[in-house]
Amino acid sequence: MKNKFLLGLVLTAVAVFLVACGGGGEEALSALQGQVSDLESQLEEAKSMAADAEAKLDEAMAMGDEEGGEMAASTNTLATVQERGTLLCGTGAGASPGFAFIQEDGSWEGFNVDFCKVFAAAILGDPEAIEPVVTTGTTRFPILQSGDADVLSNNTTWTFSRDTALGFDFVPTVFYDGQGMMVRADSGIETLADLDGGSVCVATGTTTEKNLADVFRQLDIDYEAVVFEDTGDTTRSAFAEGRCDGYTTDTSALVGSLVLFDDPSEVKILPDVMSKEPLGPLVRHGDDNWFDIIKWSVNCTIQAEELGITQANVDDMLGSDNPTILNTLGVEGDLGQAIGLNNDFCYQIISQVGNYGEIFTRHLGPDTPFNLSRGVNAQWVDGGLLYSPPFR
Amino acid sequence: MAQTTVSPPGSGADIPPPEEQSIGSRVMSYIFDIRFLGVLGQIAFILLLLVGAQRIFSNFGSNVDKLGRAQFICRDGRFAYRCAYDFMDNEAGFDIDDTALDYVNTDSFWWALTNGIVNTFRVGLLALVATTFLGTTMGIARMSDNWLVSRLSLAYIEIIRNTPILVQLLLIYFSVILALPDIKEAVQPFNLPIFLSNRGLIMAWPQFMSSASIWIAFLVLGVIQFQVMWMFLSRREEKTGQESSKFTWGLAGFLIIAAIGWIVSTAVAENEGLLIPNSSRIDEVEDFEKLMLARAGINHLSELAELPQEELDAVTLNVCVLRESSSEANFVNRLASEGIPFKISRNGSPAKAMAKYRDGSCEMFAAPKSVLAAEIATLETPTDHLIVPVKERPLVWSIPRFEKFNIIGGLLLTPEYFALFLGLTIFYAGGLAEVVRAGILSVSKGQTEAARALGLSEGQRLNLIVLPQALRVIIPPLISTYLSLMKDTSLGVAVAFQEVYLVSQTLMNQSGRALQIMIVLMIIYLSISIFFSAILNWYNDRVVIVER
Repeated sequence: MKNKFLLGLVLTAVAVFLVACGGGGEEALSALQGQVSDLESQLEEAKSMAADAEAKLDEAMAMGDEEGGEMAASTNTLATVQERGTLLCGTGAGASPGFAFIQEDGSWEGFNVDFCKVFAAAILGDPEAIEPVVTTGTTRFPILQSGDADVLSNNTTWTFSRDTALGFDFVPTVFYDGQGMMVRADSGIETLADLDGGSVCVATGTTTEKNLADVFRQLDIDYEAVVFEDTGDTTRSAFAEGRCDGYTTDTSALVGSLVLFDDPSEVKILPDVMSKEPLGPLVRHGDDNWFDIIKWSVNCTIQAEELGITQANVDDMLGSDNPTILNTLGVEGDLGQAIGLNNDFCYQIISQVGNYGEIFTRHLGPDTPFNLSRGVNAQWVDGGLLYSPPFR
Repeated sequence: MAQTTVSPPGSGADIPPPEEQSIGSRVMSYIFDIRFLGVLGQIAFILLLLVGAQRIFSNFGSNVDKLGRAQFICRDGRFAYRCAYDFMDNEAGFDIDDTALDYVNTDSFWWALTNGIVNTFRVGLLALVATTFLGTTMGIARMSDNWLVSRLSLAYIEIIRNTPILVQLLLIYFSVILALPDIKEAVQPFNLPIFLSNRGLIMAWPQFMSSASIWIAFLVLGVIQFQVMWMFLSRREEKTGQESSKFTWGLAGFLIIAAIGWIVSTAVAENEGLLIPNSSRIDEVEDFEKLMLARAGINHLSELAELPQEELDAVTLNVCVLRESSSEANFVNRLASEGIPFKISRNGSPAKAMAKYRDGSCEMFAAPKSVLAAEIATLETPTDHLIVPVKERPLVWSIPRFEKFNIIGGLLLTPEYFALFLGLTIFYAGGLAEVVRAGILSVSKGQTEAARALGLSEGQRLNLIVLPQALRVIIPPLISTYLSLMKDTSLGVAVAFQEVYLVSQTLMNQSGRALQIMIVLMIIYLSISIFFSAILNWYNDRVVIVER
């Protein structure tokens, strides 16, 4: 009798298990594959019939959304952020001076943190409504993918594979950088080739690590790479202790780290630039509206500088007779509504955080220990690479 | 089965229910039956477990969807979940320097991961052995009658066990190892070829040449001879009673065969060569001395020391070699032993070395003859160059020498490896010492007294009486100590030692496939743990007291 009871129990358990998993297992997989092939065939049609291509695609997207079920709620990042009232902004480990550095009182300061404030000002009207999320080279992508951060503003290099295979979208670059090499001033090293036979400290999980391998392989340089998981300042301290002959990362970060050395004159940065490093904020792929919001918030800071709108004169500019300025600040037109924000989102950014030039000068300019020149990070009218599409 | 008939389910089953009992109260009596409640509780728990598992799986599924199709693209561009690991065949593109296997940054992700696994074992197994010795010693010392020894051991155990391993590891790496002298002022104890600096421990190390295979064959022969000799002498001893020193004879035979092998392999070896222009008028390596004397305009090599630096630089031989090749160690040793000044240019490939040879930045190229024969054909006028044979021995010492930044050659134990090894050993030996002490204390005092009464020495008492009995108490916690140690090799991430965890972190970032890598990583650690516990459980079954 007991055996029968046990048998019944086991059968019940199996039945429950099947009911519970049947929905999520193979069926979902084949359904997904079917859905995918549906989408593909629709895309084919769309190509052949250029006239109603857009309609078809929209339809396909709508289908995707419908069947996404639970996912649908989480893909509307704007609604999530507005409901939460704060913006989760991935800002790095808090150990890069000038870009994102934790102050003695625990607050975050820096160029990248200011861009978090830019987004918060645009979306929530309050630049302080941010929650900095600590990220490292290795954790940043899973953190963004899983939704633990709404946006990353942590000096991530825009690359093909990150933009595509990793499933991210990069907004306009806010800092054009290149990889540099720091060596000891008395080492006699003048160029990268002089490092033959030496050791190089590098942080893992970065484009720098791969660049180092590529560049040195091309130069046929024999070297030892000492690879650190960079939580904070470990890579630089190991270099400072004499573990390596060179320390490589983005030039801006090298310049920033100078203030961390006991005697900055003991080290120097080689003139060689090893790579292109366009650094900018990034968001998850798939939420186009959210992507637009972040993209145009960045563009707003660049546009404002070009038009001469600053934090100080932004209120006067509201009464300007230049229609471009009025459009940008949302006095005329309804640009903001198109991305689900208030029309004055750009006004909020400039009045509460400032334009691009002001943000740059505040954290990296002549009054800071870093004294970086604008270089290629100048407006296009000044020969730089910063160029905002028009606000129209 | 028998039990079922003795106590059927339901408390009221045995006693016929009284007439006045209503159906409601019968149901109630079932509900409040402790056995029924027990079963109900189990069903509820299983259901809860299933619901939890379902939630986890659906969450997993939706996250996989979120990751997007790009993560599951096959080589032919199609989308399928089975292609989740296709990216692992791509070029890794990052460096792993401290490896036991050959790895270059153009190898695949799989090979990079394999190197990580090997590194995990390399540090884990050595730490395991060292922990066992240190832990046992400390555990015994803790119980010593000597006041100082037991107090020191107590201090060690308490400090180590009560601080986190990560703190100790960072302390060892940053405050002890990186605080060693710079490589330029490396410590060299007793003028031996051993250098200790913040770039690690570097020491002279034997390197096999290609002719070593012949010598090793002779060594194997020597071992066989030893066995045969041992058997033969034992038989004779049994038959005639004539005693002889079996070990000495066997060893002598072995050494003779090894020496013959050495001579033979040196004589027949013709693998190494040196590519030089005819114009240098060198036909054999012995001519270098003459060449040197002619160049410097001196009568004896010892006069080189008196030359001014510029002249010395002018006469120095510029030699191209292949990086990390055994030809390098062989040729360098040869030149060094003759006292000829030389400069080595190390190249990644024969093509790069030949480019330097052609443009004259190196005068000669030392490599295996087979390599040189292929490369000489690429020269414009091969007849203007010749390959000079270089003598070799089966085994050469790779002797560390200073180059511009680092010490080249020899065996290098990197600071990262060293720090992780030391950190793991010191921490886990602290825990093991307590396990050993508990094991020893579990052996009753009467055993010790009996051993003393029998007149056994303290060492004999420990080895023959106490430890064998303590072992069965020690083994189970020892298993978990070993397992924790192997898993904690992942702390290499803190001190930049590229074991499997750090490698997979890098992999995750270079490929962007966090999910796939995490699954592989879990499987790897699970396999390591199961492997170790299987071995140790088998051993445990052997030492455990057989109970009846």
